[in-house]
Amino acid sequence: MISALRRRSLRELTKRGARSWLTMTTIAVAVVGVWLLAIPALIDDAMTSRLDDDRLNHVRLFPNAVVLSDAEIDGLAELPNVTAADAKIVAGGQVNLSGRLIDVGLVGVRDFSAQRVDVVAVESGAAPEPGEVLADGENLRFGRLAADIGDTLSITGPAGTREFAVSGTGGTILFASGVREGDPILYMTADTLRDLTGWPGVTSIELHLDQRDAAVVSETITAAQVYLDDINPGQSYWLAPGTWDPGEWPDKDDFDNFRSLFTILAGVAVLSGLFMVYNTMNTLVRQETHEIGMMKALGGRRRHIAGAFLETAGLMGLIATIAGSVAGVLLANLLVSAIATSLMSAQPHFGVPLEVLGIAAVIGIAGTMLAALPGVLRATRISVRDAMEHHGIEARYGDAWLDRALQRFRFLSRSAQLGLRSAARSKGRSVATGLQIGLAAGTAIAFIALGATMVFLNNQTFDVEAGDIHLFEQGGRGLDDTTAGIVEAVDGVAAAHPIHYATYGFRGENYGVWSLPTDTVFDYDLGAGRWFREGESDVVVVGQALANVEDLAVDDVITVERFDGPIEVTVIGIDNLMVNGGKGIFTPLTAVLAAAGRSGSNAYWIETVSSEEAAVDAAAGGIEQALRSRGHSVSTELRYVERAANQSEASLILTFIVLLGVPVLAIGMIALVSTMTTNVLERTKEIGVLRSIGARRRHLGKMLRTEGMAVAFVGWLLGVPLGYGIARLLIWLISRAFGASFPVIFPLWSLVPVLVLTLAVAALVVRIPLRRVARMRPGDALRYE
Amino acid sequence: MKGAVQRAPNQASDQYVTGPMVQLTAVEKVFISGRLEYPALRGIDLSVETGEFVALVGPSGSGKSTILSILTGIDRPTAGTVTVAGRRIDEMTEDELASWRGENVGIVFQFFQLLPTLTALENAMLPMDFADRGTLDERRLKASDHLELVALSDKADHLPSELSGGEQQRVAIARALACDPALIVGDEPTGNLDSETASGMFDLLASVNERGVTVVYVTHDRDMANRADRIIAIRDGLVVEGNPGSA
Ligand SMILES: Nc1ncnc2c1ncn2[C@@H]1O[C@H](COP(=O)(O)OP(=O)(O)OP(=O)(O)O)[C@@H](O)[C@H]1O
Ligand SMILES: [Mg+2]
Repeated sequence: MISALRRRSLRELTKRGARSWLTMTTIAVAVVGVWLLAIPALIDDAMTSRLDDDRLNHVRLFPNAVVLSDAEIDGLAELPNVTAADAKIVAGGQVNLSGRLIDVGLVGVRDFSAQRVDVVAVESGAAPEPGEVLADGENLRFGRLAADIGDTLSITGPAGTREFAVSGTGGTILFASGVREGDPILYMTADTLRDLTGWPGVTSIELHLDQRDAAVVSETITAAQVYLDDINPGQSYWLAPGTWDPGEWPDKDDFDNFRSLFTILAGVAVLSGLFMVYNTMNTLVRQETHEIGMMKALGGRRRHIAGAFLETAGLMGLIATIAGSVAGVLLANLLVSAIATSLMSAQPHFGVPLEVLGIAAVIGIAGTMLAALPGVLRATRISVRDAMEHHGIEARYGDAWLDRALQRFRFLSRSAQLGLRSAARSKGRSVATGLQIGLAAGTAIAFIALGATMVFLNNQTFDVEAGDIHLFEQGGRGLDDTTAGIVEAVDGVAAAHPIHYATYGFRGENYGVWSLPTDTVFDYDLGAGRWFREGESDVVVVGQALANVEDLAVDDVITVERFDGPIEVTVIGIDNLMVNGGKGIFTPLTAVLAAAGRSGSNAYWIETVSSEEAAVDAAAGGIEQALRSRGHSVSTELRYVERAANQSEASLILTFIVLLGVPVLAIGMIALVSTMTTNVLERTKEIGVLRSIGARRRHLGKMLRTEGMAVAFVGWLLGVPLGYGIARLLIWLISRAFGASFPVIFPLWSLVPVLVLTLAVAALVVRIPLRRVARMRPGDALRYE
Repeated sequence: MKGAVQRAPNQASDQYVTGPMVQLTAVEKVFISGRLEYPALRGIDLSVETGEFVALVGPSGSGKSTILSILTGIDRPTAGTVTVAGRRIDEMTEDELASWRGENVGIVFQFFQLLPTLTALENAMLPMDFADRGTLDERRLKASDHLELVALSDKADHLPSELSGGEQQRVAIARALACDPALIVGDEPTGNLDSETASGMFDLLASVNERGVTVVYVTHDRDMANRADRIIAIRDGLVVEGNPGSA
C-alpha cells in the first residue's frame, strides 16, 4: 500500500498536469516574493563594497594649509593604529554659469592613480590632467550643475579665475552628500587647486584606522596632531577633527530609511506569499477529497494517505522553491542594480544571500507541507461515503444570505449572474483571494499615500523658505545694513527679507539656526507656544523633531552653544514645519546680530516682481552686479532651479516606490489568476454543460470576467483599510527614523485609480483561464474529472 | 412511421429541413490516450428521419455515448461526415457549434447536469439566454410553460440542491426543450431514476416527439428501448442492426 501510494503521489504531479503546474507556479511566485527580502541585504552589500572601494576615512583632520611631502604623508600611516593615510586640498569656489556665479566645492587630489583614503573614482571619461576638472556624478543627477565631458567651466577660487575643461565624471562617497545638500563638487589635481587657491600644501588629512573605539581613536588623533606639529610647529586647524563611528557614513540615515522601506515591502510580499501557499494547498487537497475517500475504501490507513499527500506537497514545494528562487534571485539583483546605481551611485555585485535562501526554502517546502496538513487531516477524517460524494466544488450554494441576495440581482445578464454566483459559491476561496488582492491593492494605496506624504514633506521643506531669489554673502566683505536698500533698488525686485543663518551646538550636536525678524515672512506653524515678540532676545522656537528627540517643551530653559559661547535660552514655541528635517532652531534676528557684532544679516530672501524665469534671472544678475560693484562678495540661488532639483529628487524616490510596489501588486494578481484558473478547472464539467446548451465564448468570457471582478472588488474593499494601516505604519517608521512625527497624507482620490486598476487587471487576467475554456471540446470538458 | 410528415419544428431554425434529421456517414472516432489508440467508432453509417423516436442500444463500451457526442457536435469525428438538420456540423468552429447546438439540439445528460447556482426556472431559461431568444419576460413565460409541462411549476424557484433526482431530471428536460429544438438527445436520460419515475419521463419524451421533435436516446433498458419507433444496435463501434429505416 505504501509503495503504491508513493508511486501515486509522484504520478499525481504528472497526471493532474494543469492543476499541479498551477499550484507549483503559485508557490514559486510566493517564493519570488520572499526574495524581495534579499534587497536590503544586497543594497547593504553594494553599500559596503562602495565604502570599501572608496575607503571612507575613519578620521579626518582639517589643518590650515600645511605643506607635507609624500614621505611625510606616508609617515602618518606609520603611526600606531593608522592603516592608511592620505591628504587633499579642499576649498570653496564659484563657477560662472553664463554670468551668474554658483558656489561649488573644490577638491584637489594628490595623484588620481595612487589614492589611499576617500578614493575619488572615475565613473566616465578620464581622471583630470592639470587644468582639467572631474565633475561629481551627483552634480547632474541632482540638477546642480550640468557639465558634459569637454565642456569648459570658468572657476573662481581665492587666487583668481581660470578656465577648465571637464575630463569626466566621478566621485567619492564622502563628498556625494554635499552635492545633494546643495553645492556641486569638482575634483582636480592638488597642484591645480593650489594654483587656484594660492594655498600651499593640504587642508584635509584622511586616516584609515585599525581600532575604532572612541578612546583609541582620540589617542590616534592626538598622535596625528603631534606628528603634524613636529613638522609644522604651531599647526592650526580650521575645523575640529571629524570621525565616522563604525557603521556610519554620510547619508546613512537616508539609506536606512530606504532600507526599512524595502524591508517592509518584502515583509508584505512574504506575508502575501505565505497566504498564497496556504490557499493553494488547501484548494488542491479539497479537490483530492474524493480520491482520499476511495483510498480509504480500499483500505488505506490515514497515516499512510496523509504521508503520501504530504510527500507530494513537499515535492511540489521543492520544485517551486527551486524555480521561484532562480527567478527571485534575478529579480532582486535586477532591482538592486537599478536602486544602487541611481540612488547610491554604487555598483552592486550579483549576490545570493544565504539567509534568504533559507527563508525561501522554509516557506516554499515546509510552508507548503504545513499548509497542506489541515486539509489532508480533514480529508482523511471524513467518512468514505462523504468523500466519495465530494467533488471538489463547494456545491453548497443557496444557504447563505449572500446567495439569497445575489438571486435578486435580476438586472444582470445571465452570464454575469452565473459569474457572480460562482464567486459566492466558493466563498472561502474568494475571500482568501480577495484578501491577497487586498494586500496588493492595500500596498498600492499605502505607497501612493507614502509618496504623497513624502512629496508633501519635500515641498514643505522647500516651501518654508520664501522668495524667488536667495542671496548669501561669500567671505570677504559680506552683507550689512545697506544691503536691503541696494537690493530693493534693483529693477524687478519687490522686497528683500533678512535672514541670518548660523549653527548652534546643543547637547553635542550641531543644529542649523534661522534668525528672523519678529514680523518675519517665514510662515511658521506652531504646534505649541508662540513666536517671539519685539525686544525679546534669549528665546528660541524649536522644530518638532528636535523637541521630540531631545524631549523639549515650551518654557524649558536650555543651554546652547552660540558662536560667542554658551547661552541660556527659553523655549517659547514648537514649530511643526520641516525646517532642517524638523530639527531647526529659530531665534530673534536683532539679538543674534548684536551678539555677532553685525549690522545686517548674512542672507536675504528676495521676492521679485515677476516670477517668470527670465525675470528672476535678470533680477539675480542685477542684484549680484549692484552688490559686487560696491565691494560685497555674494552669491545667489534661484529658487526655481532649486525647486526643479528638489522635484527631480522627489520623483526619483517616487519612481522607486512604484518600482517596488509593482512586484507586490503582481503577486496579488497572480493569486487571482490562480484562483480563477482553479475555479474554472473545478467547474470544467459545468462549462462543458454550458457549451452543450449554447454558451458562446463571449458568454463564458462575461461569466469569468464578472466572477474575477467581483473577487477583485472584494479585494479592493479589504485593501482600503489595509492600505490605510500600511501607510500609517510606513510613515510612522520613517518619521521615527527622522525623530519627527510626520502627518499621514492619505489622498482619497488614490482609491479610485487603484480600484480601476484592480478591476482592469482582473478583467485582463481572466483571459488566461478563458482561453483554456474556450479551446476545450465540450466532450473533453464533460469527461473531465 | 411518424417521420412521414416533414415540418419545420421551429421558426428560428435555419430553413425547412428536407432529407434526414441526422446523417452520419463513415464516421470513425479514435481515442488517443497517452500512447494508446482506441478506435471507439469504426465506420458508422446512420440516419435518423425528422420526427423519428429512436433508441440506441448495445453493450457497455460499444460506442453509444460516442455517437451521441458526435451527432450533437460535443465531440468531433476522426473521419467521416456529420450532417444534422441539413448542416455539416463537423465543419463548424467550436463557437459556431455552441450556438448552433443551443438553438437546434436539446441534450438530456445522464447526471442531469443542472447549474447549481441557478433555480429550476433559470436553468430552464438558460439556453434562451444564450441564444438571445425574445425578451426576458417571454423567456420566463416560455420556461414556465416548459416547467408546467414537466409538472414542476411549484418548484420553479428551487435550486437544484433542493430538488430530488427525478425532479432534477425533469428540469433537465424542460431545459432541453427551451429553444424548441428540432432534435433532442438523451444519454441514458432515465438511467438514474427508479422505473416508475423513468417511465413517466419517457411519457414526457414521447409527448415531445408527438409534437414533431426528433428524439434519439441511449438506454440499457429493454422496455424503454421497445417504446422507440426504431432500435439501432451498436457493437464494437459498428451499427449491427436497425439501420437504415428498417423499423
Ligand atoms: N476519452 C476517451 N479516451 C479513451 N477512450 C475512450 C474515451 N471515451 C470513450 N472511450 C472508449 O470508447 C469506447 C466507447 O465508449 P462509449 O462511452 O461510447 O461507450 P458506451 O457504449 O456509451 O458505453 P456505456 O454503455 O458503458 O456508457 C469505450 O471502450 C471507451 O473505453
Ligand atoms: Mg455511455
